[in-house]
Amino acid sequence: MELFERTEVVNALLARYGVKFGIYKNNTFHEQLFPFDAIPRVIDAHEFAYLERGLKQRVDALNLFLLDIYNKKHILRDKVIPEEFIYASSGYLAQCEGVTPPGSVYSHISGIDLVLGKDGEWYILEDNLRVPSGASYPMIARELCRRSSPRTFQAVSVADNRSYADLLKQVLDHVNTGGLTVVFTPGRYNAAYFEHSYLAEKMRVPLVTGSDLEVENDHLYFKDYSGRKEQVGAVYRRISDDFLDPMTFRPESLIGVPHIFDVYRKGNVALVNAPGNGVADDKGIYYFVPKMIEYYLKQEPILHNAPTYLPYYEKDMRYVLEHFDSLVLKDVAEAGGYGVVFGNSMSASQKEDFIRLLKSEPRRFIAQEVIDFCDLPILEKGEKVERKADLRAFVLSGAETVVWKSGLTRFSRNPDSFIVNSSQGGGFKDTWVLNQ
Amino acid sequence: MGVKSIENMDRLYWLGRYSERVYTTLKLYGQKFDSMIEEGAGGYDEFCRSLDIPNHYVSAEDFRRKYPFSPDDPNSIYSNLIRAYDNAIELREEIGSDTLAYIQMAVYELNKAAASQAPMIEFQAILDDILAFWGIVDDMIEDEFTRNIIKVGKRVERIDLYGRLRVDRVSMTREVRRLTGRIQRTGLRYRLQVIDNLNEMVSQPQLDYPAIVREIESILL
Amino acid sequence: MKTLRFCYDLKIEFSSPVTHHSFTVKCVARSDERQQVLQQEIRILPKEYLSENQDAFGNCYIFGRTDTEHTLFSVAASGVVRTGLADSTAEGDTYRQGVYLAQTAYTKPGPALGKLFEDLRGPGPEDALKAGRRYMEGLRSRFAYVSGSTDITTTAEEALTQGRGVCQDYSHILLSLCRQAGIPCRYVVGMLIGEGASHAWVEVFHEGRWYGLDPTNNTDVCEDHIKLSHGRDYSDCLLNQGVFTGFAGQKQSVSVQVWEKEPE
Repeated sequence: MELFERTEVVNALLARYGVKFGIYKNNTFHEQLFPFDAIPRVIDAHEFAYLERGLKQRVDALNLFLLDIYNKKHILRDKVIPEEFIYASSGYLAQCEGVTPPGSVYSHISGIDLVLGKDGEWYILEDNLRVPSGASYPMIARELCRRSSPRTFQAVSVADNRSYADLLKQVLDHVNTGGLTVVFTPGRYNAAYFEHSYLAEKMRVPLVTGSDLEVENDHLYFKDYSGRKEQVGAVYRRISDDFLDPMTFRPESLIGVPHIFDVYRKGNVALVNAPGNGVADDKGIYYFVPKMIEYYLKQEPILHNAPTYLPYYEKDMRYVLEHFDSLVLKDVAEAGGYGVVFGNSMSASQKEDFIRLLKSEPRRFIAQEVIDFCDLPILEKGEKVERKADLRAFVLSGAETVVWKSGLTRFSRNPDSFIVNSSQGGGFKDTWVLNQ
Repeated sequence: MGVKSIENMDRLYWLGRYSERVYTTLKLYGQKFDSMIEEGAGGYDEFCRSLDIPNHYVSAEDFRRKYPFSPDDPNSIYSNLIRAYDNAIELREEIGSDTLAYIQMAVYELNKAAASQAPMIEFQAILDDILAFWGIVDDMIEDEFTRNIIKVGKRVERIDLYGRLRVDRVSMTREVRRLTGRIQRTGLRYRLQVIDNLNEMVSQPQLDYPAIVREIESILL
Repeated sequence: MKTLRFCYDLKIEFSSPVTHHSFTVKCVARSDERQQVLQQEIRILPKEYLSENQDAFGNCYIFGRTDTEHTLFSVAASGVVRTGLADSTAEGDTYRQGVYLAQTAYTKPGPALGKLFEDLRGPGPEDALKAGRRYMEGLRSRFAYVSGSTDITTTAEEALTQGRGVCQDYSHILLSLCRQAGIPCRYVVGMLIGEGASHAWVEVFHEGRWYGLDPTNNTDVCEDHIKLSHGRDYSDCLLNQGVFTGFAGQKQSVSVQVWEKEPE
């Protein structure tokens, strides 16, 4: 395809527009280009329709779970999930008890990570319901690919993905309690600053930092240069819960807005995504998502988790000990590809230590079968080679739940690595959803 | 967009100023570079004096390297371009990705120039990028305030530089006139008296350059 | 039943002027089955605006901000409360109290708390209130009240290891023991007749009701106690919090007075 020959051109255009992510090396900040591979991941219309049904179902259940956990707690009453998995989770925030966010939506933007197994099945790897990032990359890459190779898009009918900003804006408008919509960034030295500023530009809303916002008399305001205060009704915040409000969370946070959480509690501003979502995307809770779907929606889960075991349950612990070498073990408190070990990569003594730790803190770990997932071709020095890749699908929940007809496909550049996280040196691809 | 923070007003203004500083000093340096091809050493002392920057260069070669390219020299063209970039990068949603791209490309070109035996070629590309930046500001930025603040920054910097370089009355008068018409349409808080004084100064038989520089530097409240 | 008057005075002096001061104060008494608030007034100075809200645990709090430069921030609360109307307060379903069952950074047991729990553990099954009382009793001979021996960052494990502490530490230790036994329990901040400062105690959940235990005084909570707030531990019940702009040292003083009102 013509497009593949134009990889360099597209990468040069991405550089032109400053499509970068930030990274700290030896405590200094660097901006790095995110390497783009022109061979897209292609999903046909039929397969996407299946993914769409499964993702909507999953995100709807997760939203119902969050509302329940922070309010009535029926899922605990009915003992579907043991309560220690909730209260011992670092993502559970007691401060959110009793809050019903505007529109009852907790996870407005959900980044669901999937892989395609060699058996042809999609498996969910992880749910990201806090501040999932990455949508901006395929969005701008598509724009630049169309410029670089119009004939490709003439020949293949690909669903346009450039409407992401409009979808996002609709969600924000839906939950807005009256006033401006803003994108709230921790600042230019955040890894995803490009995305924050790009989405603000495309939605035509202000990009703000903590010092631009102020709470007064039960409402949140944007401070204009002239001293005028403009009420804010929806905040797409790209700052983590911890740093959001020094009066409620980490008191040393200088990038947050004092009392923003108090006016949110009062229902006078929408925070997107809602604080406290970490309780639902915890690696330990992941195990229970299929059960949530059955419990809240009375449906069979359409998409499957990777086969997962909870050493917390005796039966699972036995299985994990018997099949240790074929499993991957994950520390539920870690993220971004850290805290992941493969049973067969440990020495005898490491294994012994690990099993001791596992037995003393069974709640801390999950074990999963290693999925043999499909590699995707990438171009390396003009040659096609196969690499591990995953897919982050973006699901937006406002008046209704919609799945963005695209996604971020990340790949590992290291042929031996399973880890495709951009903070660990991977690249990305566009994800095409075909119109037929 | 309607609402604008005080920080963004400030960034727009300095983006205008630094883009102008890079443009004018790069052109001057280009002339100097040309004359130094045969003359070799010397002459850079006068260059520094005319721009009112400290001459801490130890040789013509040192000057030729550091003045355009050094990240550690606060008066280098590189440092000024990075300041423009630092302001621009935080204004993407205000000025647009297409506008920001020209400043980004100028940074890439300057990095290329640093590695080149014939940097004048890349310098031309940087001048092209800055001219295109000003062009797109005029053409694409819908918000009148946003547009005008950048342009006021550019005018203020130009009057400042022209004062130091002692340019002719015609050029100076033109810049003061342009600033006078523009600054009222920005929302910036400025001293009206300074505008009056500058207009008075350019109508004097003898231009008092140091006084013009002092005056322009006190324009913002 | 008693009718108590109280005065709560907080003063923060800054060594140099500060501004953009955002604050939250949680010193508002609320009526429940145990106590009835007859009268209450809170004055906060200086302030630009004040607002009232309820936190995740049901406590009332006041928040606000002042932008004017100041060197003194003060909160003066006073009121009249009828106490001892009941020995406990009702609160819904057990499955909703799980948040009070998980150990926190303050109550997480280490070797000392683990051992104390084993030492004090009952021989057979017993109800939550009895168990709580026995842990409280057991603490009496093993822990000494020494004011100034700990600070607000001291954990239950640290306090127990050194063998002394104040009401905050007594309460955290009792919480840790109850939670090890699987009893939901919570930290309470309030005021007590005869104390010059604020006081802390514990509530244990027993048969759908919360019962107050005051481990510092080894007694059930009675008509001498006025409750202000409750939470998982000390950090949920901070009487005041603030962030401000300015480089200034701060000196905080709190004075609390509770006395029985003369019959009219």
